Amino acid sequence: MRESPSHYREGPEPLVVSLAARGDRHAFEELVRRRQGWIRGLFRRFSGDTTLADDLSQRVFLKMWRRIRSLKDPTKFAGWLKRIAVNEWIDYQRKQSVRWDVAVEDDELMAPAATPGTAIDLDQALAELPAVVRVCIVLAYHERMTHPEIAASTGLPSGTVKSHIRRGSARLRERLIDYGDSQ
Amino acid sequence: MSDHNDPDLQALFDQQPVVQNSEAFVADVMAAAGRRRMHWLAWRAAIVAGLILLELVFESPISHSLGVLGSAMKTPVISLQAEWAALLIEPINSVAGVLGLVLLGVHVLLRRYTR
Repeated sequence: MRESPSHYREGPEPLVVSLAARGDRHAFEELVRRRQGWIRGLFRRFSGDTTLADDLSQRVFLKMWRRIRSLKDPTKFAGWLKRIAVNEWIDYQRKQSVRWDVAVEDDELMAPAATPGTAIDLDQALAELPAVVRVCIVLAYHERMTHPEIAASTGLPSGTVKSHIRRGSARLRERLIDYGDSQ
Repeated sequence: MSDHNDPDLQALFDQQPVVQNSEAFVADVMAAAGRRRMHWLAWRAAIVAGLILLELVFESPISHSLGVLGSAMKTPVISLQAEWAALLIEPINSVAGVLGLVLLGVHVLLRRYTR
């Protein structure tokens, strides 16, 4: 397996980003190596599907390579890359005909009749949430983003983000009680 | 971090295993980037070859069109009688000069409002 030269592996990220923006393929490779775990983990939370998560992560890194010249401040690389990833997921959802601009009704967030004592894990509980609620929950808990940051990333109104997180959290708690009890 | 996060759920998210780095994933991304580059170069080469073929087969239509466009760009926009005034605005007194000023204005506005 080809490795990046050691000075890339040891270099501070803003420097590696600047080199990648000048078309340096070793620098690009090093950025993929450093950030792959984070981006693949984010997509696994969004999708609950490891193959899909890796496909979408690859698309994100290719978009990063194509657009990195437009990044003016290399210290803002992480936030910029996360925006590309969130947009990629929203685009993917839209292609799957998931509507983002419709209100989520309370009955969509009602827990299905669970078998008493059935333990489900976090990914299963997340998969039961409407797509737009799942994105807000993952960004809030997995990425620890604030509500205004989530609103800016997803293009949803701040009040909607707040409501999705509040109701999604309540639903997750409800579904995960048995999981917590069984551990 | 959001102050509104439920602490129990946050703890559960924090316990989840981290995705391990994989050299195979890095290699896949680099291979895909290489394929895209080759695809892009092949398209460029095909377009250049097509243009050259067009020039050879149809008696230089592109060179002719560029010549006509170049002449049109030099056309003065304002006709002034005073020689000193005509000399003063000569650098921008053409279709090309006006287009250049418009593009410069758009560029300045974009820089101001997209930062």
